[in-house]
Amino acid sequence: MPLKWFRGLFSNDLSIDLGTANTLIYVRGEGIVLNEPSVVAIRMDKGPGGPQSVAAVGTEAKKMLGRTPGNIRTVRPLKDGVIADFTMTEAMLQHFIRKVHQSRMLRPSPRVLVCVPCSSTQVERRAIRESAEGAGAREVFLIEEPMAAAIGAGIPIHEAKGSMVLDIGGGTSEVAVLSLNGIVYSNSVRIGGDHFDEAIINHVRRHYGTLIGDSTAERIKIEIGCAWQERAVQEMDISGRGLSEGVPRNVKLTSHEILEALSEPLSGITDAVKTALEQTPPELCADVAETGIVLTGGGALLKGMDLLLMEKTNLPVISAEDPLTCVARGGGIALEMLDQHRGEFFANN
Amino acid sequence: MNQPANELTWKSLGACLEKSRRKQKMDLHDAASALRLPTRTLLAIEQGSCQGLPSIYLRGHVQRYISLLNQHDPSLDDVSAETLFKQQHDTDSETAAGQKNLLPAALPPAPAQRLFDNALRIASYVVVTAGVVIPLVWWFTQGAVRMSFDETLVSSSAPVSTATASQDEAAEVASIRPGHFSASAAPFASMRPARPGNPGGQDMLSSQSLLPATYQLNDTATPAPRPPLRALPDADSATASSASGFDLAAPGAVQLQLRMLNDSWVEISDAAGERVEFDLLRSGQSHQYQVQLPLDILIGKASAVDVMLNGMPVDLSPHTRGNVAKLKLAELPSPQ
Repeated sequence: MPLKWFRGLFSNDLSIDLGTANTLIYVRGEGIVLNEPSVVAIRMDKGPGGPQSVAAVGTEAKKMLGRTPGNIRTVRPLKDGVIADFTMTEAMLQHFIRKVHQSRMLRPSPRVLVCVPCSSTQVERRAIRESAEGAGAREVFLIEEPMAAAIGAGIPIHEAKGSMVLDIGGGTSEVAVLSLNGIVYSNSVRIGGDHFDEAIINHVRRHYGTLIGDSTAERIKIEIGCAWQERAVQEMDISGRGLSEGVPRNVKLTSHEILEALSEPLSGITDAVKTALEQTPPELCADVAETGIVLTGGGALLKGMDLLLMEKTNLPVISAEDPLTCVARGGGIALEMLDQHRGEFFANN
Repeated sequence: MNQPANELTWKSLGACLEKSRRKQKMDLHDAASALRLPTRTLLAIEQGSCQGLPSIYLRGHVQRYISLLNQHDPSLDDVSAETLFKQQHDTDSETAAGQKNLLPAALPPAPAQRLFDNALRIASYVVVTAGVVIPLVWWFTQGAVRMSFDETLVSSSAPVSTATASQDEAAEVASIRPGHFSASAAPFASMRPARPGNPGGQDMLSSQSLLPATYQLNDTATPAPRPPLRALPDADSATASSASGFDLAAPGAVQLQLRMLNDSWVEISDAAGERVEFDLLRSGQSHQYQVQLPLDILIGKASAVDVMLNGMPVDLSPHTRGNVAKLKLAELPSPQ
């Protein structure tokens, strides 16, 4: 413990948005210094039962997704916003923490704030805490993602006024109503960007008999994916493997098709928002009706997402500035105010 | 919206938006309904009295309003409005920083503050490193110096133990030897390798280091009375010892000789109660001492030691119990 304290003198406090798709690290006083995919490549030279070593982490590992030989396996250590593979999460965190402390002579031992989904269980939170401690953290704080997202988006959560935030991440979507530095209502649905990709893969397989990979599905989502019918129809050519012949095949997709493919996961999200509005106390609901819903997370970048929610809820919907980094930035601000508001924003164990 | 950005104010932006709305013959209620905003919020935006709204909401509402009007009036663009959003954001940040309970915006710290933080971090690193490293280096270098000094003394004392050394030199060494055993040298005694002809690794330093520290220090100040000297534990050093160590003996001293037939623990204290020997002596060694009677002797394995006093054997059997001999020699043994 004294050694960790000593090393902590030379480590920066970190806020980590440990997401299913991407991990972002905010360093106190420096801003966001790392934004890499939450992917780990493992090398198994002596077979599946033999010793394993980390071959690559982050962007490098993501490039290997679906293109690895037999002795390398790529894994996403987080699923639905929580840890699915404890060892790999620890290795990934260790790699990222070292990466942001590259110039230091001593092994870093920072204070770390990790953002967790509001519906995560005690066991899942404990796993995240222990994983961060195992990666070298001196002290670990947890904050619920909607709270961090609201702070990062610049919502005045300290006021006695209701604010609603919807954070659409890679594995989960979190909706929360906040007031007076606290969460009044929160709900989390296990629908996110990964489910959008999955829906696109299923659509292409079902309608074109062609199999595409995760990376291609993500590219389709970013380029022509939309949540609301647009006037101009966008088209995109993709390649996949034909299921009948087993040879590569080219397919032309339109934005209308993708909208149709995404309708199921999107309806799950809109239902969650409607439920949240139903459960919110009327005074706060009136405040939300006046100010609107703030969208954060990577899902907010899906075209027409605000229009869809506006249509379904009849409320103004605003996309936060730089929605991808809202959670990490919010965590960083909470960390900076740690001494002032000790424990006020943080989640229980 | 053709005004320069620096002249743009919320009021002028609101007037511009209102003008565009009227040009499109759009009712305020219709616009509010299309934007799902309360009419009073839209009115506040048009009147330029919307600064009370937090920047995130204001930016969102104005952007949506501009994009709604843009559908029919492409002359509107939101580039100039960005300046106002930035101003509003900065105002919000300043207000937030000024109030204790408000959240400050996620702005990076000022360059001066960052420089100060970095300087403070480096300074603390240097201070802590210096605080740890310098004493360690000093301790090791001082220790090494003392060790080499000790070795020099031991090597210089070797000729004293031989017949070639003069009495004066031996006396000088004898007067210095107790003094140079400081407490700081003691830790290094155990690091010293065994010398040839001394299989147990015993030498004068190791046996002297067993003496109480207070005695050693006091002895530095007052060299006399001198502690009894020990001859080198060499089996064939009888002639050497008679020429050197024995010559230093005080009057009335007797010669005690131990011949080790086997390994045994030996404790010998002289008349002054000071330890003459306190060690595990090895088989095959022969030790001689110049001591004052009476002597307290404890031998762990009586059968392994032949004791002689002034060349006459001492019978240990009357004092032996369970092969441990414990006796007090007050007088010379009677000749057989």
